[in-house]
Amino acid sequence: MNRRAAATLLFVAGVAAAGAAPTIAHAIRGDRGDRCDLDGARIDLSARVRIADAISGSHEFCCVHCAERWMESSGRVPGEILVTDETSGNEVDARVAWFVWMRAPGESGIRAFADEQEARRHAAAFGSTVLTADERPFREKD
Amino acid sequence: MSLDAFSVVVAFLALVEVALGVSLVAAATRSARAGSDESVAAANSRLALTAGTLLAVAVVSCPLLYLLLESWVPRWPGIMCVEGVRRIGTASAGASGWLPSLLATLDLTKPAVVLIAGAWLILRRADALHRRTATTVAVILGLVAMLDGAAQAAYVTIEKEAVPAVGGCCTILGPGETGSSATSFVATHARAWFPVGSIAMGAAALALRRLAGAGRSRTVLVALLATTALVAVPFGAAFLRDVAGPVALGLPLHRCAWCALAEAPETMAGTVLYGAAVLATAWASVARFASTGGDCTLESRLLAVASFGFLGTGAMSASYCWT
Repeated sequence: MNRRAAATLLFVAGVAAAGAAPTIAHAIRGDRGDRCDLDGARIDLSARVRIADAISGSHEFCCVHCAERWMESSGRVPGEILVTDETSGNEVDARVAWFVWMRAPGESGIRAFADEQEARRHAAAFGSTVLTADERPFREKD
Repeated sequence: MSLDAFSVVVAFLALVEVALGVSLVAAATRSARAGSDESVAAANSRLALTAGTLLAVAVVSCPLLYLLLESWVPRWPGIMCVEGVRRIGTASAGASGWLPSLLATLDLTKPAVVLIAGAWLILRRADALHRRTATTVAVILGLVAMLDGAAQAAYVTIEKEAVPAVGGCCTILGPGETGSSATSFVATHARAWFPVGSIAMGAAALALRRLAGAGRSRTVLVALLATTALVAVPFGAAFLRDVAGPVALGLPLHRCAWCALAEAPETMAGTVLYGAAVLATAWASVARFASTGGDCTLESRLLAVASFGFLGTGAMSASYCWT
């Protein structure tokens, strides 16, 4: 093989390798694990929100805010929204959950509770209030 | 100001760049005033040494600045990536309010220093006809290097520890803000046109390389390709943010170029490949302009690098579109 042919072969191989790089890298990275579908943050299981969508399947988010942003951006009306009860760690239907805007250091954001009394107790402890009516997240779904 | 190892290195390089910029302007002025051939040769060798060192410093300081910004991510709770650090100082009063503008300046001056330094190195090899042009380019290089170094030094030294950061996802805008990525022309057309445009520019570079002759039409065509490549840079950035990033990260809504660069190394390789292709095209245009007597060796080599870069990026971006 002469020098010119070798250079051409190297050129074509390089371009082909560049074209294959995204697919190979994707295969190597594999599953992303428990990360938010919107911002890629690690999901704290006590704040996880899961949305079941008939079109694109199940999506997991790190917080209520990300889940709402996803709904807003995608324009989809999900079949089911499950939030995580702060106290027990169990999943609760967003329609019956109680939401509190937490302002504790390192814990700011909306947290969900299955029990009204627990929600009010947490709200009082952190100088916050239980979200009602228009303040509630996912209110289009209610 | 709390100093860390990266800050010290980046600030030091910034000061070196300013000093080299001043030295380059002085050397270029001396070279322009030199009378005898001997003094011209001496001034030119000083110029070459200074410009070469400046090019090396500029090339090294690009990844160092990126690593510095990345190393600052954990400093502010709630910030997730370099984009969050870049937003530090937005709407702030006082010196910290200049931080985003300084970074925007560095976004332009860093590649400009590399581009102009390369152009000067090509021009200095040309004959006496282009000596005046080479001297002017050296002065411009010195001035841009001074601006780049000063902006970098200011960015590192301005107090930013006390500046509150807007936490949360780097792709989420605040209430009332409009997403320019969704509305701008570039973002709208990047997905469709960037892969096609890259492949077309690669093919054009290959064709120009094989095109016989050294006439005026060739000079115009190479200059046209270089201009197109430079104009296409924002499309490349939009493609990285809006298409390659979400696909590479597996996060369809996460449109952040910095997250893609940090977490998907192939996007970094693609960015370097595309940057090299754009620079090679621009330098090929300079080499075409400076060449005399039909010698196209350097131009031909640069066009080969450009075609490889554009075709590689085109193949890579097409792959992202289909994934």
